[in-house]
Amino acid sequence: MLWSPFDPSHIGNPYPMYERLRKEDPVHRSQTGEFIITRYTDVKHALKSSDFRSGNRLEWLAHGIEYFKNHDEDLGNIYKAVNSFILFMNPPDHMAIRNFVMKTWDDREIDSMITDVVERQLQKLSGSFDVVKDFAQPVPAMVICEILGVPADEFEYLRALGVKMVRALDLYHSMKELLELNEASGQFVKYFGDLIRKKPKKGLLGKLVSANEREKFLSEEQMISIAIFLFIAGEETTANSIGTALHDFIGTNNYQQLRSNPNLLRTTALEEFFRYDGPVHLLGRISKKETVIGNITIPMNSPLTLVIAAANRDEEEFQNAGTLKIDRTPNQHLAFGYGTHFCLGEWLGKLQTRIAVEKFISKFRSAKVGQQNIAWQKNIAVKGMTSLIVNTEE
Amino acid sequence: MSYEEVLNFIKKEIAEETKLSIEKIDVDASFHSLGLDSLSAVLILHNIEKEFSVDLNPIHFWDYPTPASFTSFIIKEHVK
Repeated sequence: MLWSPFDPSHIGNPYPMYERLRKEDPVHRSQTGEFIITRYTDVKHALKSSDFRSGNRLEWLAHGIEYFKNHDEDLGNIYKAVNSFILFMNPPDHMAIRNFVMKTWDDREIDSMITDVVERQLQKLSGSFDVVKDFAQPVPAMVICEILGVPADEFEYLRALGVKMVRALDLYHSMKELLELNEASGQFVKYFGDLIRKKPKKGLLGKLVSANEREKFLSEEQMISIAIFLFIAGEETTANSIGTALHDFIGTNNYQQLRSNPNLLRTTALEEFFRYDGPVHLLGRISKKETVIGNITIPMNSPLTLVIAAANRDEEEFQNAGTLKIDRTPNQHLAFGYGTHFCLGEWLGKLQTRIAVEKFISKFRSAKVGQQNIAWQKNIAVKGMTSLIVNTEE
Repeated sequence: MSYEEVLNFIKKEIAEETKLSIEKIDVDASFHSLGLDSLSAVLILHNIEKEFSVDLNPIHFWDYPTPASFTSFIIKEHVK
């Protein structure tokens, strides 16, 4: 089976599977019926072409909620939580909502706030510790709470919900996962609903609420969904970026090189990490009409899975694509998407990952990790670890 | 848990979902052609997991896409 993302050996390292797909069947009709696209040019084309729309998962979840309602299972909270996830939306709503968030989000001078959060966390760490649980996960949760204006001491509660909620972006769900997702959705909707109804004054949420009072642009349900989206998009992907970047740099020559020349992180090294091992692996699209990719005809209304993590290792686009080359240039990777859906928090994800990696490397003169000390999340769309034990020396 | 037991359970589940009569279900026909989709798959997998205490992932259903091949797979998993 060419497409076997749940195979235990592919959970931690799906790249050999991606390579086979790209070489043997780059527009692969999978056993589940969707087309799996793995070549750089094809993925980029599908991201920028107006022949495809977003929202596979939203449509599937909406059908699912109807279907399970007829089987006595109420999953309605999921829809309440995800109805306005910006990456699921299409024109014209997509641009309108995206622009509304972008223009309201005017405070981007947050380097020192992020540095404070990172340094506070690092102070607690020495010797042997779990760099995922004790560093990569709490930092972005605290940062996004600060940005949104959510009380900082609630980050742990929200983070635990976020881990379950991010599954909404995944490609396949079991009943058990849908029930967990529904439970987490209900709690998120209640949390942000209560907060928004109190008309917060602080942070981005405060700004969105007051802009919305003036413009009467979003319903309460949409506002809640956008708040949930900003939280999990800001938190889960960045936690995985920081954890995976440290995993990839630790134990290689790159670590010492970055320690002696930290400026590389600002120029090429971080971009190269996102190309080589960025957290978002899969994006979904649906064909709006019959179209051709490669030499394969895609019927109208076919679901497509764009494997951006496979495209980013396409030898046709990147020489020695399977090597993390921290001075690589040019580097037009697709780790944050491309076109109208290009990640709106890209600058924030990069900023946090850079500061976190920079401060970590500068504090610890050496760090080591053992293979047996890694545990991976089971998600296939957004990849990351649940635990990574490292031994460090200051 | 025997092959027959699992196969009959799967046939019963398919019959409930598709309103086909159990006798009419061809055990070598694909789930797609029997009228199942990704949503009915979630429900049937869930019921199989509960009934036989096995742990399945959502793709397994389509990796072994007929009642007969899926039954063989579950028996093999169970033995493991």
